[in-house]
Parts: sequence; C-alpha cells; structure tokens
Amino acid sequence: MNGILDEIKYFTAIAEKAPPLEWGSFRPFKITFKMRSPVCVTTPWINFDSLLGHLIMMDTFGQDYFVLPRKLNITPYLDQANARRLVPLKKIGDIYHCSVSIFYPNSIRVTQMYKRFEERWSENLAQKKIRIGAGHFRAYAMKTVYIPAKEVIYYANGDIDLTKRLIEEYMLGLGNDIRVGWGALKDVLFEEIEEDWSLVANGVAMRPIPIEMCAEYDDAAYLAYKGPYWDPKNTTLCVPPGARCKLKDEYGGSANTVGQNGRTQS
Amino acid sequence: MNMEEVLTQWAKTEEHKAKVEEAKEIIQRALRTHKKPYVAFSGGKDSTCMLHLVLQQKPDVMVYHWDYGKYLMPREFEKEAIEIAYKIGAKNVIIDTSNKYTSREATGIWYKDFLGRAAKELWQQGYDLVFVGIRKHESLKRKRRIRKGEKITAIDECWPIKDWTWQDVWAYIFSKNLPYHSVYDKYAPIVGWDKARFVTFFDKEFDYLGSSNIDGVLLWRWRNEQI
Repeated sequence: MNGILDEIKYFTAIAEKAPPLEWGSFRPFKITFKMRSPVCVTTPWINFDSLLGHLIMMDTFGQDYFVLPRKLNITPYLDQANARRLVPLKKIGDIYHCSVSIFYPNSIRVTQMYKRFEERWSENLAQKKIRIGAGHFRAYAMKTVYIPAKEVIYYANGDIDLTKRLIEEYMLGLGNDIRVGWGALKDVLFEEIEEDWSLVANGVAMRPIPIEMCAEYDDAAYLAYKGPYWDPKNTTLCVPPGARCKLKDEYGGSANTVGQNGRTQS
Repeated sequence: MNMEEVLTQWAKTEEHKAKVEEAKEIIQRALRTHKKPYVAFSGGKDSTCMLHLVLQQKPDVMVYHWDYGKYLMPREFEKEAIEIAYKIGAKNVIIDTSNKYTSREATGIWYKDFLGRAAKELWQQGYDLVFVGIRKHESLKRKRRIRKGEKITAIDECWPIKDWTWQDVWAYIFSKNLPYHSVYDKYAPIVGWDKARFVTFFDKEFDYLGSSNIDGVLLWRWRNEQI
C-alpha cells in the first residue's frame, strides 16, 4: 500500500464485505472464564464491552485486524450498514450493560518481565546481568502486574448467543500480554440468569457509572466510562465499581432489575 | 510477626545502631564545615529519615521540597508529603515547582528547571550544602555517584544515610514512630517493602520500567483525576 488513502480503501473494503451481526434477544447473563494462567493487567478491571468490541473487530477484519493502522480511525469512512456491527449489549446513554471483571480470588501481584528477551541471551542471566544493548530495540526489565485468579466473572445484558460465538471463535486469552502466556483460558461458562447484575447488583456498582445517572452514591472518581477506555476524553466523574449507588429512575431505578427481556437498541 | 514488628526488631541490632550513629556524625561534620545548609526533602522514606536526623542537630534548617505538579503527583499525595515534613518538626519549608508541568507528556523538567534554574538560585542565596537522602543500595548509578563523590550542582552534597539499607530506613521509621507516606502502604504489600518507592506517578520517564503498569492498577483513582 502506498499511502493513507490506500490503507483506508483496503480496510473499509474488508469492513464493508463483512456480514452484518444479527442480534437476537437481549437478556441478562453471566460469563465465567476458568483461567489456566494468571491474568496480566494494567488497570484493576477489564471492561467487557471493550473485550467484545475487540472480538468484533477480529470477526470483521480477520488476520488483517493485526495490521490495522493504529492511529487511523476508519469509522468515518465506513457506510452506515457497517456501522451497525455494534457490541451486542444493552446500552443506556453511553454505557453498556456489562460489569467489569470480577476476579476470584482477587489478589494483586507483581513480577518482572524481560521484554524482547531472547533465549540466546540467557547465559547473561547466569551472570546476574542482562545485556540490554541500546537503542529502540533494547530489552526492558519491566514490572508486570498480574492477578492469579482461578475464575473471572462478568455479568451482562445482551445477546448471549452472539457473545458466545464471538468468545468461542476469537478469544485466545484474557487481559494483557496473552502472547507470552498470561490469561490463558481453560474453559468458559455461559449462563442465563434471572437478575440483571450488569450495572448495579444489590446496591453496588458493577462498572464505572457516570454520577449523572445515579440518584445516590457513596464514592466517585474520574474514570473512563466508555470505550476506548484508555482515552482520557472518555473519562468523567463516575461511581467506581464496588461502591454503593442507586440509579435514577430513568436508568433503571432499583438496584436489581429483574429479567429485562426483549431486544433493546439505542 | 508482621513487617513492622520485624523491622522494629532490626532497629535494636548493633549494626543498625552503628549506622544511625555514623549518620549523625556525618551530619555533625557537615554542619561544622558549612554555613548555610538545606535539606532536600521529597516526602519519601529516605528523606524522611534524613530530615529527622538533621532536625535533631539543626532545628531551623531550610527544607526544600520540589513539587512535580498535579499531573505526576496527585494533590492529595503532595499535601501529605509536606505534612510529613511539618509533623517531624520542620519549621522552614520551601516548596518550589515549575510552570512547565502542563501534562503527563512533559518529562525531564526537573533537570531543566531545578538544575537549570532553582539550584543556581539557591547557590546565589548563599546555600553551601545540601543534605540528600540517596543510598548506595538504591542503584548501581547511585553507588557509583557516592563512591566518586559526584555532586550534581555547584552546592556541596552530604549523604548521611548513604550506607543504609532499606531495612535500616524502615527500622528507623518504625522505631522512632515517624510518619511515612501512605503510598507505601499501597505499594509495599504488592512490590515488597524493599522496592516500594515514593516517586512521580504515571510518569512516562519510568514507562520502560513498567511503573505505569503498577500505578494504573494501584492508583486507578488518580489515573485521570487531573485530566
């Protein structure tokens, strides 16, 4: 490809050829990831809507997803039909009905990871010193945070079948640095549940919820409340996961919204 | 026995007591040979010990604190650091900063603004000695610097706790019941009492060490506070 316009053409063509995501009915469900290895994290929780968004991108672009230009947002170049490949979860305002990751057990650990370290340099470890070289490709001894969870649970409200397909087809692991073995999955369990615990469960926030949506809350912090969660533009004063809160009536009011069936699109 | 109890026991060892005495003598000698000293105080564990030791011999010493700005140092943490100085008896605390701390992308400002401006001003004001809480055990770079006696500004430097280990530092804090920054209680149980440090947070300068990874998990509340 010669330039940015060629890249746009190439990727929009793939996106436009992708079959539409057919949503079924929306209902509350629970997903349990049984972990084979600890989950590497850079934030205290992993957002489920961003995880699904990532899987939809893999579904759309296939292997080309991994060569997408990182700084090029092709969304404005897509026609409306493809813009409909949205996350199959219920949405209120800007937030999706999905909890953040709940780790069992939740204990944070730190280790040192040698980035770009190669086995042929391992003799240097015997000397208790790593030749890191210099320049852009030098090796780093980076601190890495991980949670040795046996299970990671999410509560959501959306299309469980489509979510199941995306997870089973594309999900290789959970969290950061899965390529080096973190966050390997042993099994994934999908269960429909009666109660909707995707936003608030027993009076406790299950995800960052903007305070504007809450009638009462006992804690608030500036947090990203929608994807991309790394983008500071998507932060606002939110009730953090784990804090007590009560949604305003127009957003579901009571702490537990029982069995919200039926397709809901925003 | 928890870590505090273990380290308080360490304070009773002859080895530790000898290091404390050595530090006191270093301070005494430095005060005898210099007219206008000041203490560089970050709010971290090392400078807390050092400030406490210096204040015992010179209660009116000027305490110089560099504020890294709201993007790299949450305001709550900054306030707490300064409160520690007052709690251990400092009376003359000067807080300096730079107006170049405009985002988390702004790096290397301490080098430009402290070394390039503030240190010169201190020298012009007649300060002829600075107490700095660096230790040989912190890094090879510091060990080398101490061995060579390298000072980074025109002002003479004194390193009273240069030979202390991390155990000595915590032993001194716990045995003297000194206040210490609450950040250590967040980091130490995770990274270890030996590795927990009070430095800038979400600092691009330390990204290559993975520091932002830890900050992102432990200090999620402050990740976007100022943005």
